[in-house]
Amino acid sequence: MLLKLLKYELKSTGSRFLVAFAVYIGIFAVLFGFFRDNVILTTMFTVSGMIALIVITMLTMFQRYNTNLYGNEGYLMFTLPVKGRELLLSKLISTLIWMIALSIVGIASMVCFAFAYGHINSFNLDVIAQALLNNWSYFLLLAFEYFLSTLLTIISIYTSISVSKLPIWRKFGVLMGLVTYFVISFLQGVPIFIMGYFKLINVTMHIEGLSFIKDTYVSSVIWIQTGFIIIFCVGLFFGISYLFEKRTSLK
Amino acid sequence: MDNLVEISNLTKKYEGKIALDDISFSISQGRIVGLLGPNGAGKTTLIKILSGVLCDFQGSVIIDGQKPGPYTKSIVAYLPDKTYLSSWMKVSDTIDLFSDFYEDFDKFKAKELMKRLKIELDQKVTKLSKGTYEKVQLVIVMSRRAKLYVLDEPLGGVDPASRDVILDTILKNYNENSTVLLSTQLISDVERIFDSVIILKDGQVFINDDVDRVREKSGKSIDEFFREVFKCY
Amino acid sequence: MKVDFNPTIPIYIQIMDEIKKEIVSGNRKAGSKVETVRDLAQEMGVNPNTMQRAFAELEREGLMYTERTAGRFITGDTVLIKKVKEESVCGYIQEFMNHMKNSGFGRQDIIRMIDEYAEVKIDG
Repeated sequence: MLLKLLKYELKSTGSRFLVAFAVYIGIFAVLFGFFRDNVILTTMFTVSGMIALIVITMLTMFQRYNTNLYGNEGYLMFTLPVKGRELLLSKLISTLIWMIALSIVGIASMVCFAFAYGHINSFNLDVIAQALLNNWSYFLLLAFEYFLSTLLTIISIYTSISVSKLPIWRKFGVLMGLVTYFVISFLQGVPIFIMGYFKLINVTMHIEGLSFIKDTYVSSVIWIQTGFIIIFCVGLFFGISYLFEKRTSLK
Repeated sequence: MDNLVEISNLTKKYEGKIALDDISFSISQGRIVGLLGPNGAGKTTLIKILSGVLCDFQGSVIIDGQKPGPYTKSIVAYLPDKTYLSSWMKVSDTIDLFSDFYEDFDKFKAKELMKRLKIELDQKVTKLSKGTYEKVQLVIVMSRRAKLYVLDEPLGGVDPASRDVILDTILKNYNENSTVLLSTQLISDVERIFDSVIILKDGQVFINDDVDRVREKSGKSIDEFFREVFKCY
Repeated sequence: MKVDFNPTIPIYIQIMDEIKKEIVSGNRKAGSKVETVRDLAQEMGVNPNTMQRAFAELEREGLMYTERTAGRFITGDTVLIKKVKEESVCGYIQEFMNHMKNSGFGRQDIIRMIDEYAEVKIDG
């Protein structure tokens, strides 16, 4: 059932993303193929293009959550013989898939950028490769933490949307949704605050380079942060599932 | 034989309004039941609860021995009075979707019905006229071999000729193991096919009886009886 | 929908009357096979349970019978059919007689007039 739900999620959202990605990659290729010398142009495009893609992704996925579950389509979704958890998971996974695709496009853009303008070249290529290989576990951990915090952002927004739809609030639904989001975001900062308080990390950081970040943002800190994120994600997941199963009330 | 639907002490309050007020009744298998009542009587609320789209209520609702959940959704075929299909879908996509999620869906029958009603499978649902869209939704719902069909105003906004087709489809589809609960405002068109009627008034069950008994007791058709009861509404 | 039903009278009774009409007129021949409950219900646009009830009553009255494997049939009892036929026009006869009586006609006149009429319109 979950796979089938996922199939329909991707089918519904797929066309918009594929078009957006194709356009971005198309223009990117053209610019870097023929207008490479115009650094200002390429930089502007890369930056604004990525921002546009991020905005499109966020808007599409959250609008889908809103209209598919709480609009008229909800009358179909909530009468399918699936558990609330499965509905939620299908949406989370599909959003994650598109966000990961977005990240890959982003990283690929930056790598191309770096190659094109000599930031990475035959001289420093092996140095960079070495640095990456030496610290592979650290980078893996960073990637994992990034992945999880993306997940948490998505779940937080989903939670806020679902909370805003509860009939208890009457006219203040949207307001309560925003409040929910801010509360969750605030609570997310608590672990960092506590760790800072107990001097586990140096909260005042200067961005200076790879090794410096590694020293302050130490593996153990990342593990703790990751742990909190997982707890939040699980909590919010079951929270939304509960809302789906026991508090659904479509107009 | 156990009843298909058992409702006990069902209450649903919205902000400041009681939509369903401690109602209890049951519906057995193999019946076509009319659910009637003026606007605001609680029909839509009851239907939403039976279909699983509203799960925040007090009291007990048992469908085929289970509380509303994935199992009841698999045996209840719900036709809302809204358009609920995704806008990217073609008619054939809706058939595929129902086929994917419902084991009791008869794909062949759905395609046959669409053909008989002259509905093109390749059309996007957004391009359909209102009447055709409603027929599409009716066809995919009635192509399921469900135990309980809950039809919310299946005839609203449809021309009289199509209404006959829709009633015909409902009757043709009927089998002794399933029950049809049909809510409508167009009583005179439909009362001939009811076994029994449930009339809701102010969130309570006003009448729950065999159709012929109501006719005999009142000496009127259901439509006339209804009009008289709700004259001042 | 083939038949228009009066919604104030139980529908199964109206179905029975309709089937009796068809037997009387010869549209349903004695001994002929009857459609299934579902098919006839769908044809007439009524609830199959209602149709079932009409069939049950007709069987009780002897106008229909069920052969377990073969299905349902109209009775071959021509005497019974004749009786039903005559019953169906009783009302008309009564109405006619009252009208004639109120118009001042006696028994002999009524018989004579009927005979003359029948000679031209029915036999002729």
